Amino acid sequence: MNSNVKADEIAGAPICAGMTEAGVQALSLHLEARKHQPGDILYREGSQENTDLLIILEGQIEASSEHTHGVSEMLKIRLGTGDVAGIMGFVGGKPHGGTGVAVSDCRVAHLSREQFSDLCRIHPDVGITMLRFLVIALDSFSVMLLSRYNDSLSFMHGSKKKS
Amino acid sequence: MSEYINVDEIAATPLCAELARESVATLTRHMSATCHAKGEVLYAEGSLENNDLLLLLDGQLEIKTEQRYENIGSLRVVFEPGAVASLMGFVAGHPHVTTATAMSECRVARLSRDQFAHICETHPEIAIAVLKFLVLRLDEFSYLLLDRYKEAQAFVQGAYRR
Repeated sequence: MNSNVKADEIAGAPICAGMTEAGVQALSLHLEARKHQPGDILYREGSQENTDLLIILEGQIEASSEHTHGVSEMLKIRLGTGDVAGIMGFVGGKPHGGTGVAVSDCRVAHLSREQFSDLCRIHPDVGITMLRFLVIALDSFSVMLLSRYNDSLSFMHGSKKKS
Repeated sequence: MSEYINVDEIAATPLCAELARESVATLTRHMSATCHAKGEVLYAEGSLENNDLLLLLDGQLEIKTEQRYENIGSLRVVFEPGAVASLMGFVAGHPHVTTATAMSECRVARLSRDQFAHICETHPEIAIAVLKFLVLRLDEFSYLLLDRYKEAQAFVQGAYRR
């Protein structure tokens, strides 16, 4: 593939923390940057298409989860430069848990699942660092969801937080 | 006291599903097994200690969070043989978010962070398979929590409308 992402553009992203300079360079060579306009949908909740891992180079994306029980915008997260989107489903290829929409002009680096497999084979150290990051990111997401779920339950039951 | 593990004990577990027999044997050599009596705490919520990755070989483990609200039960899951516990302490060295207690006599296979670092150096393909498995497990857990959160929110928002 013809990469159009420079190593410098992603070196400061949290997903590259712990990578060597050569590792960041290797990752950048597997990425493809695309431009998106405000309102562009990068991935859609429930869909198994567009399963690339996204690293935001410029601009902002809003990730939201909706379309259940007729209630919209249950969960909304704003992601900016250096953040990663499309995590859920990237490794396993499952349907997206949310919808990612560009909220400004964006430039986003795409890593396909095929390119990631290739990266794991040729540069396993980079693959290991990225997978560690994904474990930690997914765990943080779970902890946030668990906390919000407990808050919702407490509202439903009229319970007070234990001191 | 730790014991050796036979490769057949872990070969059929989901953790090893994507590994060749030779890789399972390598992984086994980096693990040790410990036995635990009923009621024994294997790791405690909030603690940074006991951060080995645990693969349950025999018995049942109760995984539970502290009760944070009055009248609302805490999150509680029972793990059966083949289940993996202590993911975050193992991967990130973060404090445990749950407490694991033996519900019966248990035998668990352990992979320490040091041993895993060694595997990353010497057998990166095994490390990648283990980490992919952990990502998939967390993915499943996130989908489950997202569903439950949505149901709870739908109820709350419906209650607001009324």
